Amino acid sequence: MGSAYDMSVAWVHKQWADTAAEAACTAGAMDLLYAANHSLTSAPVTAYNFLPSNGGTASGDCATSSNSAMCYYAKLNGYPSGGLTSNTPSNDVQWNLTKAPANTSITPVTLSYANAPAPYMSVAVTENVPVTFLGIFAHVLGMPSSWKTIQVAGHCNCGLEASTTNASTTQTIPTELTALCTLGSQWCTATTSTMRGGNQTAPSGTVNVTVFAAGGGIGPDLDNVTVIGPSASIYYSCNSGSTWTAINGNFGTPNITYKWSGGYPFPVFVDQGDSQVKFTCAVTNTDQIWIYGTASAEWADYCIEDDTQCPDFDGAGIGFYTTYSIPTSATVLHVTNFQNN
Amino acid sequence: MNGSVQLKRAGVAVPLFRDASGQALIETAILSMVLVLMLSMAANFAFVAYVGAGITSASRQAAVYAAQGQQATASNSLPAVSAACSIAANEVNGWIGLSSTNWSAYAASAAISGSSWANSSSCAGNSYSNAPAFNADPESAYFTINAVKVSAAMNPPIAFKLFGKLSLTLPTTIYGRSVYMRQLN
Repeated sequence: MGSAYDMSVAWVHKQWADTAAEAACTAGAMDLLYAANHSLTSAPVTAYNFLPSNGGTASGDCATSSNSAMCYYAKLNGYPSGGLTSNTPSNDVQWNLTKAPANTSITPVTLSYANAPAPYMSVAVTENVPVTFLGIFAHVLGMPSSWKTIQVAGHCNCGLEASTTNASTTQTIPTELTALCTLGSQWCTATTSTMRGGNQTAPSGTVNVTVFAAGGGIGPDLDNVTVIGPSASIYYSCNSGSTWTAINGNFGTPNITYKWSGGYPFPVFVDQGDSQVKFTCAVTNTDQIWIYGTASAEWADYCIEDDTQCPDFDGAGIGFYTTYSIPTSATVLHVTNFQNN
Repeated sequence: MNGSVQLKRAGVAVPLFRDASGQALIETAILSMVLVLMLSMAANFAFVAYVGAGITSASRQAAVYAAQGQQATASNSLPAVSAACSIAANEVNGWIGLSSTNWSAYAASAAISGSSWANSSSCAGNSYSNAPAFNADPESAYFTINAVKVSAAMNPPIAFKLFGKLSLTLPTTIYGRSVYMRQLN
């Protein structure tokens, strides 16, 4: 039972050593990750650099060289690494840069820039754990110098792993920002104006359309503005099978503040007060994106006929622009730990 | 035993062999008590070691998650401190088997170049919950530090009293373990 007690203590210390090894290895790998992401050949802070100046591999012992992230984090987790002393409670932390991950099926990452460090490392934490009952037995058996400690070790291999991630890239598609129609100065017909020239193949993603008021006092509210496409006969559509949907909550109950009311087509897209209406629609790389904007002739007609009803519309116009959110693939590096034991 | 064999000493007949069956019974009874006590102590100590290792594991897994988290699934975002705290809590709940009132978990993270914990979360509600000691990353302009502390009050499962009065049970022990891990900003 005495032996069981001592071995239980040693087992708990083994868990601690494993934890410290993982923390130390992670800390060192974070330096590797930062260096790889910035094409550096050293840790970001020179005083804590452990990477060889000519790239490649290196190794170290925290008992003799403690200025590295591995040693710092091993110490934080209970292993200050004063070096091992036989039959005396003590501990040591060693690290080793390697070019390939040990005993795993992970595809090795290669850092291609000049003097790049090895992308993997291992950390070993070794501890002489004091024993109680085993020491008594050894003393009884005439071996007082033996069995004062049991040596346990924790290991961690870690390093960089590449993975593909989806990153959304937003592109602003040039649009003709001329006003769809100018109110107050001309007859604004219901004839559609093309705000994006030609039919273009859009990449897969999401197209966002923002209709805005431009120029002229407070600008007109944007009721009766309709986005159509690709077929002029299909309202609210941006491509076959997809439907324009509002974003930012701009669909909803009309909050029209016009002085006129009634007798006009019910507003399709309604300005909620910010003089912008936004729509979004999913597109695929086979969709032909034609975007039109229309303003109703009745609306403009009313303003033209009685300018006192909407005096601030003079010189105002309506335009819109589009942005695409396109999923793009990117390879990113991250730290991974494997084979902790 | 053979009670018929006798020696004569000072005129008194002394039995050469006494009947020792009763003595063996008493010795067995006494030794059994000692043995049961020792086995109980061993079981209690094993429980302490078991919980201690479990708490270390919970802190470790939560700290690793805080430092790497969703980066392992190719996301650029790291989890919130409260999520790391939940990881620790789940670990403790999952396999240590402590009563919910007997343990606590506390996670904290520093900001870039910070001098104290910038974010912290306590996700178990007993009085042992307190923050791990603050330490700054040595390259704190580029990295931050995550810490998770799990504490528990361990009551040995086998209570033992000699003659019903003298307690020989290990006392309640409060044990806490902090684990520190580094995070890239």
